[in-house]
Amino acid sequence: MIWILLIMSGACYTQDRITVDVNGWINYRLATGALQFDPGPNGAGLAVGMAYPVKGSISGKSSVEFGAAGTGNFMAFTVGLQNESRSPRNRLVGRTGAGVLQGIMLYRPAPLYVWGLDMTSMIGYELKNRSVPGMFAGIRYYGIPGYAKISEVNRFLDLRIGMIYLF
Amino acid sequence: MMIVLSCSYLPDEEGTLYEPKTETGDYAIYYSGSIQPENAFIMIPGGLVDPYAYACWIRDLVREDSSFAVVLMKYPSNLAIANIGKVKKIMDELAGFTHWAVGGHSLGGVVAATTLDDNRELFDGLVLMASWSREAADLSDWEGTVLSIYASEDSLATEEEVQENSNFLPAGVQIDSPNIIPDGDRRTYYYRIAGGNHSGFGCYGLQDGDGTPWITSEAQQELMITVMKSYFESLW
Repeated sequence: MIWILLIMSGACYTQDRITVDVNGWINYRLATGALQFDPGPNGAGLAVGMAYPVKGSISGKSSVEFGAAGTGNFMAFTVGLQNESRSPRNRLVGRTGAGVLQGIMLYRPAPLYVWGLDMTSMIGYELKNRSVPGMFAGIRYYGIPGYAKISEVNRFLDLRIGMIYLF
Repeated sequence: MMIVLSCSYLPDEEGTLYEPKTETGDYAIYYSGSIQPENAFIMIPGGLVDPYAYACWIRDLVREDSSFAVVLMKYPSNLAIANIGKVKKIMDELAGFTHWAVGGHSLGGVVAATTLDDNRELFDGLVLMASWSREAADLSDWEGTVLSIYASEDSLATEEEVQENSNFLPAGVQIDSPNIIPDGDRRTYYYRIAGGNHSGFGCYGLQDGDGTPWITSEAQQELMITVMKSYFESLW
């Protein structure tokens, strides 16, 4: 709740520097296919990303990811936009954003294309050295069109929960 | 290096959709006919092998025998070893089946043996394909029967390794014909496929490091199907 209030509070902050982040998460599958309820653990991932000022509290973000999702392991590149809010009094930092994912599922003899859309929110605590350890949660919908030749279960909606560290 | 080691083998018959009766993100169920059988064989894929690489022979197995279903397990990263408890969870979910056997290929067989050791009372049978049990899952005193299928040209799970680890299974007997004949106290049936290899237990091409087979994977899988049918008939 604090998280949502922080984001909604309008305590917007002009991001004045490029930040780099490292994050890791677990996936919990909510649905497969055309949003058919199908809950269950669905892998984990790691990413290295960066955010760069665009205008006011809006920043661009990008990341390189490696993880397990849906039908196997993947490597992907994501880009997106996010809004950053800060509460200087209690040193809280919040970010909410959306992005698109383009990548490959790691298969032999040849990889398969994977695409995705996600929305993520994070909250963190700014340390004296300006780094920010935090947590994030979000949803991601992604699909592996080439896998449709093998199985009808080739699209997934995952809840992602993870830890993040901003530098 | 990490990326190469993370790649899974896709079915080599890509383009063919072997339609299961039921399919979720965690499993696919195959059986013939319109009525779900009471018996189910849970198949655990080998490490970093896409589960549908086994659908080619599972389809033929259930087509020839309608007395059981095959539940093909799926795992994140295609690594069953990272989630050994999943089989039990899925069994709890699939309450319509009353008799169970579990099995797997390669690393999937190790997971199957471990799962059985953790839940001995739940299973009637165990099928190991190019695999074995370990000291940590010593089944030598288990009272069920085991079918261990291995291949002569397998360089990834060799005949020697299958024999070396036989101490962790009930006392066994080598069978030359793919027809199981119950043999008193000897409850592990070892069936050797001459000319077969590790990759021939699925349909995903030649796995790195595997031996060169001198029979086709179709021929290997026909023998697998025959011996498995015979084994399941002896169970159920």
